Amino acid sequence: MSSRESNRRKYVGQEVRRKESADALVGGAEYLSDIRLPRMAYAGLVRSPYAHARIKNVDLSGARNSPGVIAVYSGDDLKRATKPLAPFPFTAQQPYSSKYPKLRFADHYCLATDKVRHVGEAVAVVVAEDRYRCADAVQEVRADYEPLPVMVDAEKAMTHPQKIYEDWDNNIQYEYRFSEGPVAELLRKSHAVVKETFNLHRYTGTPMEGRGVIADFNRPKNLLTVWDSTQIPHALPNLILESLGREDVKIRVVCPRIGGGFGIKWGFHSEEVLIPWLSLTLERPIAWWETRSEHMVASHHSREQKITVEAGFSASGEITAIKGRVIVDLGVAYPCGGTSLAFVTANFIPGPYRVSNYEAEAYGVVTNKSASGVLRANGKVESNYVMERIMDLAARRLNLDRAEIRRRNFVPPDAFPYTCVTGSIYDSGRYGECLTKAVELAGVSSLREDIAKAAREGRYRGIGIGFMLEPLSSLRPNAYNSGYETAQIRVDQVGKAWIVSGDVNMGQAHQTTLSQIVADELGIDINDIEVFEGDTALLSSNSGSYACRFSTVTTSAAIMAARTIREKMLKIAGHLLQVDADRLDIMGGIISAPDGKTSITVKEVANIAYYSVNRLPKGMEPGLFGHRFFFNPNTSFTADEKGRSANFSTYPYAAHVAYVEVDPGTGQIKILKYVTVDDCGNQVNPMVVRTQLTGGIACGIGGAIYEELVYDEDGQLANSNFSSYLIPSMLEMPNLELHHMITPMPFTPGGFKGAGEIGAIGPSLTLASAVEDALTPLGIKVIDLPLKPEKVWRLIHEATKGGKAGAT
Amino acid sequence: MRRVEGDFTVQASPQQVLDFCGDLRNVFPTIPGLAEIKDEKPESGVLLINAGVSFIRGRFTVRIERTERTENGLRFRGHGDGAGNAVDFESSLDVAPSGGAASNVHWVSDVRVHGPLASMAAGLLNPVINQNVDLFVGKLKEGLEGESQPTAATPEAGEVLSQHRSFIERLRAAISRLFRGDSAQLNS
Repeated sequence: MSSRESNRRKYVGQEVRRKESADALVGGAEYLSDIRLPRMAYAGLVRSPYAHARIKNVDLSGARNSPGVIAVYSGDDLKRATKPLAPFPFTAQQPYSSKYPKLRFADHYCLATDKVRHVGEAVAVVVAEDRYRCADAVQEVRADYEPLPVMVDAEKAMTHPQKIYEDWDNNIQYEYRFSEGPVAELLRKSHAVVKETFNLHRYTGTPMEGRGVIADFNRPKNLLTVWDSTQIPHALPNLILESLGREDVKIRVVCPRIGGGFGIKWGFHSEEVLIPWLSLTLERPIAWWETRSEHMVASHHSREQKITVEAGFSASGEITAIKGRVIVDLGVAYPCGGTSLAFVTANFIPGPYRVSNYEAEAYGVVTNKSASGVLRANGKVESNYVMERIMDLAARRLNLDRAEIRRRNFVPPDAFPYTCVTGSIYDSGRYGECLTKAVELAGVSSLREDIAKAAREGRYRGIGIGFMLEPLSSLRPNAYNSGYETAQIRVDQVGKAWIVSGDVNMGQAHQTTLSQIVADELGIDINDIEVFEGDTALLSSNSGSYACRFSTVTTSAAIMAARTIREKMLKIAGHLLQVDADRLDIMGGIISAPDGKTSITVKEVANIAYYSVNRLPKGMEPGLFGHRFFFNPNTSFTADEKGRSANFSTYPYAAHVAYVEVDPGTGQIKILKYVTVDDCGNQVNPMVVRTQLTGGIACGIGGAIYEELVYDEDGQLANSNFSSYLIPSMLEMPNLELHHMITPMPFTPGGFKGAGEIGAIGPSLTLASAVEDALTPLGIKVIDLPLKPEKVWRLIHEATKGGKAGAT
Repeated sequence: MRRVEGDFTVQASPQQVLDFCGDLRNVFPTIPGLAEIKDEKPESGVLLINAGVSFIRGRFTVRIERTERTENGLRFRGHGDGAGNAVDFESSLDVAPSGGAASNVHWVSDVRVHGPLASMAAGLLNPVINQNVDLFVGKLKEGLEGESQPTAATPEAGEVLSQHRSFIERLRAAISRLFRGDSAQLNS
């Protein structure tokens, strides 16, 4: 960065107060359920209580005769009128040209037709004048089912003759294989081999606002407007039209304020076709938003995997080879992007370590559970967890310090950009420094003394350390996440900037951070900027808000667009001031020459650009407008001859250290200290980074200790509400000590990487490490998740053969 | 699947227990939450039952049939649905003499709950199940013991039928009173 560019940074890097908080604080933020349209009717869904059953009959007569009911439809009605749900995130049924990954989609209509395949699958829809009458009428639909055998174990389902989709030859939806180097031979010759099978549990994102859709068809305009609490507004017009089997309607998708997403709103869900179809059919606005219980069974879940890792080590602790086997329980095959769990997990088990020999197989297997899809740090929570557990276990086996064995294997700072064994290109990093800093800041040496003191009192305290690498800003071939983002900026006649981005604001402070970036680029006041997001009428394309694409790619597109305008403003100013444009700079809304005396305001230039076009340089178009695309750096669409591909652009990382006490009588974990050092590149707004990390860590702690979706053998979800599905509140959160390093992303103009997800990765692996350390006297290995009290208690109970491990 | 089972002793002979419970028309009025009997036969019936836990409440349509009668036992099967839930159950009743005119009744019910009710924590669901089981057994015993009071002389068949009908009516009235009380109790 030049000193002139550096001087221009007035806002970036500052803790600018969030622009979007004010209206939320005073109750002025408009969410989907705040929208009221004339003649709006409400839809309610009849959902299957069975996990797997043939639909014998759906009797709609009771509902049709209920007061206030406008219409009632079953799956058969929808099958006649629409097509199966379009594939997502791919735009084609067969997106890959290489042998692997192998992928297939199932034909699901937006209401179940012949069979239901999970509890909560919708079989009928009721439309009524208000939500209360709708809810009553939903109870009047009578569906008769013939229960079928239920499959809830993904590993068994892989080879089981009972098929969930009759036209498939087995229950495997996705398969990926990768092999590099003589892995088997190297494992055989290794000084030590650590092999474990990890069972990672199913949980989900629980945004305060669930999913919801409102659709309004305007026949005179032939325009269907869809308000959707989604992370993928720009993909929806295509997905909806394809699923409706229509091409004759214009669709505009608008995202109102979104009350949290966490990946649950990144996915294509059946209601996003059903509600538009109802509006087209009934020609009136139709609204639907889910209840919490519906959210738990009908929105997607994530994380459930069985992963076997076998890693070889030399005597001095260097990794010789790794073999991985990943089985993802996908639930039903809805287009929620769940198959990416298998790919991402298998691709990134080597993580931040130098691994030259790696073999992996990964399967996405369908079962009679709700669909699996994307959840904050999708597949990366899992890959980092298993590898960090392996590193801890290897350290124990080789009698090495846990930090030291990691440092011996890290990709060194001078190796970047580093192409990892599976083909991904890591942009930058100082991993060893980061881990050392975290260990020092946590005061690990003095904590050891405290542990010894606690042990003398019969208490079990331990330190966990963990390192995590987060692949971010992804793309896929033939997909809606197609490897670029775009931004439009217009500086109006009075010098105010209007930014249009295709992202959606789910709480990440896009309006603030984008304003900071563009204000610096244009040299104007941050309050002279407005940001518009998530409206397909304003921008043609966007991949959606996920995997921190905003930080990496959208900000880059916005910087490029702002620079287009800046360049033009300087040209106009130079022409008017008779000064070489290269010598001019913009600060505080004033364009001035180095002498400081010759100047013109941005407002004056803007006014001339629109209204005094005769004063513009010869041949220059009027207006101040920038629209730029920015492509994902460090990526490739197709795999090379070895099957290697680069699907992510940037790789922020972090080290976490936790200090915990385990109550052997209850299995309860108390987090006494939690220290993190992260490197998310340049920080647009350190306050936003802190809040993003804090939220991420809260998600991670929830997933590590509290949140688990439990299915019984009948495929019934045993905890579909917050009385039995626990999410952490402030009371469960420890005091976090957040520290930072900054290694700018070298391949984008802003140098930002992303901080929205990495916090979610750390807690499970760090707390598992800490619990294992605390229970070292009992010789306990922590392999599976979650670390719920009863599960930790059981580990202790089994290790002590039911004897007492100490005081409660 | 949840298994609910228990034993109770009743002042009635095994034959009286089997006769009484084998005719489902005697059993239906003893079912807690009964709102309406849509169809009743000795071996089957369709009922509307108000049921639910916490916020999951509604009217269930329940179909019950007697599937088997043996020398000392009865088997039933049923299905109910409502409020977005479904319940399938298979129940058995095994009766053995228990000294004098009494019988010991061992009952087992294997219940599969489908839908949101299945997600209710056992801590919420079990007290409701236990409460309803206690009510059901209490009323069943009341019905059985009311019927099995010794009579002065062996009545004629017509008299038996008349007594039986009279008993059923009294039982229905009693249950109706009881339910009003239960509802009030529950609501309080």
